Amino acid sequence: MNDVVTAAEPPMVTPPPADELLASETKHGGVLGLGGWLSAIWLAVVSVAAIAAPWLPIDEPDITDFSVLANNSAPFKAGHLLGTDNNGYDIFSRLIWGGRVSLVVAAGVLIIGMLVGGTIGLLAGYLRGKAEVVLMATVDIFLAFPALILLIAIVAFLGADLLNVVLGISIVSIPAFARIARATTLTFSQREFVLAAKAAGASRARILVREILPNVILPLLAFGLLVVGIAIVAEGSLAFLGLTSTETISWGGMINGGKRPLQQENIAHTAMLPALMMFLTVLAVNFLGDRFRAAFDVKDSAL
Amino acid sequence: MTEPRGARRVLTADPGHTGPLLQVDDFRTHFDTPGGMVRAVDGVTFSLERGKTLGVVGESGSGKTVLARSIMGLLTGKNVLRSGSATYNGDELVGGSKSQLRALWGTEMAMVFQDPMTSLNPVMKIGRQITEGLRYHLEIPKNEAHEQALQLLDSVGIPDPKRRITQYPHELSGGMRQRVTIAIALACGPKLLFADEPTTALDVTVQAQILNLLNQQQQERHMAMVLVTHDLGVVAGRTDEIAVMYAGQIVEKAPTAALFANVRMPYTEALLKSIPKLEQPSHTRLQIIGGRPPDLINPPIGCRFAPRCPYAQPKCHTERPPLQEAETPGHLFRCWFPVGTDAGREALAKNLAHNVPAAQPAVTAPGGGS
Repeated sequence: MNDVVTAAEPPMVTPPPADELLASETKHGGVLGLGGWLSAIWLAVVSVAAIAAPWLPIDEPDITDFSVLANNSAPFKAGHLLGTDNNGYDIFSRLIWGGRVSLVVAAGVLIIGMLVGGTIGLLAGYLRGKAEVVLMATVDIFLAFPALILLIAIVAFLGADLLNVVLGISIVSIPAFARIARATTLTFSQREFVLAAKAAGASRARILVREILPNVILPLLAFGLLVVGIAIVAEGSLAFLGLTSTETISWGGMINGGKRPLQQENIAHTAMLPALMMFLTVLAVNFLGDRFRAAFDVKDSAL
Repeated sequence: MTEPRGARRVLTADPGHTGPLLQVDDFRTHFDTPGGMVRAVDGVTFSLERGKTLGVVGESGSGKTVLARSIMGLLTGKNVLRSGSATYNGDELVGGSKSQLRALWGTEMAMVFQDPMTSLNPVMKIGRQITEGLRYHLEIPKNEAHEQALQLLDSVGIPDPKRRITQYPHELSGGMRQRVTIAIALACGPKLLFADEPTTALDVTVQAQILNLLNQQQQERHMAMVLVTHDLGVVAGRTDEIAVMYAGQIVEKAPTAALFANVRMPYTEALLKSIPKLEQPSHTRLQIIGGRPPDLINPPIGCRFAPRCPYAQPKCHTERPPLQEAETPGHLFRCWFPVGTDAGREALAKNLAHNVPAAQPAVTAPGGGS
């Protein structure tokens, strides 16, 4: 891995003149673009609905409507906007409640991954030497496991409730965060402003927190958005495989529950709708992540 | 081969110290690399009084930057070996612990770096970069530090400091940024300022302004300054003394006026000849110094400049010339056949007659250039 990195080392980048910097700065106004705005609006709607689910005027997600034949119904009938699934649960309501799980997973993985992975990477990249060897070797060991297998093992070992699922996905994503944080730290700790801070008498801890961390956090956050998409899918995979608690309402679980009716044409939506929700949400997250990354890359190369 | 002389005890603070502010004796900085010991700085001696400016001149790779950084103690890698002595106000800097050195950084000595594009933190506002030192070292409350930062920006010639203080580095031009780095360096009132090629990355039009600013601040604050540059023209009117470095050693050192009046070292002469002069007709080819600086792992046995020197004689290649004093007191140089002496003239004539100085390219006659 290392020799690949050194081989691809780019030539010295000469900073562009100041007026070019200013020009690129004004272009930053439209970081998001139309797709970015649509993504942001979609994510906002899903998040707000998920958070406000208990207070929304929707059916209870776990009450069976026995009035429906075979507990299944097509959309736009019998007072259920999107119909009911084979347990007679209201699908629309469960789509909204299922978003909560994805939201918790996304936030949890982002926070734990950035905190733990970011710290490991920052320390490894800044301290170098033995600390770096130990930290990155540990990270590499985790990276060597196939992610889904490791995830299944963690969930099987710890138990299948939501907290453990979040923990498991976080553990799987920490190595990637650590690697990104380390690489970014390495480049920034070589910058002259770090030496300037040192010459001004700042302590190592202060340089790490005040000078390097603010520069590392933005690229890390942009990467984090991409990880969020992966995390949502990972939770969905676990739920689809039936490895999470059946008590928890989640999109993956709904797809799993809709497997059999999928063969019946008229009620294929039982599985398709949660799949569509997950697809659109992950797409939106990835799109936003890409936009942010592009925006920060521009800024990064400009300075 | 050359071992550091072991850690020296850092002396306790001496407020009644009367000697020079900075005294550097036989100072060496070597880098232990897989290829061998790189002698980046190899036995440098000088002293600097308060309020005086020393210009350190030399081409790339002569050890100027390493000298400045390692006197301050900023080079901390495990492969950095410092030896000899450098005392600040009587306190030994070589072998001092990190915390002892850090206590001096910012408040006693500070550094202005070469490239203002990279020496400011891109994600921190100008104001905070200036006030940080004030609040951290001098424990000045936030509001007061803000006021002081405004004054500092004003004193380094930044118009509309109130607006600039809330801006990020990328919103400023190169010259402005260098003014900001100077403001940051001066914030805590250091008594010794290292300026490491402060104008190299700037437009020619801004260079003079920045140098004048440094000079003005140095005089107002009665600071000592070490001005590192590769341009003899830069230090000509702005320093009290000049040290010319070559291959890690000082090869000529003299009060500024004496040096320009009476160059002794062929290397200094070569540097002077490589500067364009107004009195020359246009299209005059500049004289370059042929070849490259020597390998600092295995420097030449004799004079380190001998392989590129038009005056070089067999003696130069075998015997290392000591630093000797010229007629003017304080004018030291390191040469067997100094410029402007009979021995020198003879050596040059001999070389020209035998067509020896192959390292020197033919000089095109004025007007005969492109």
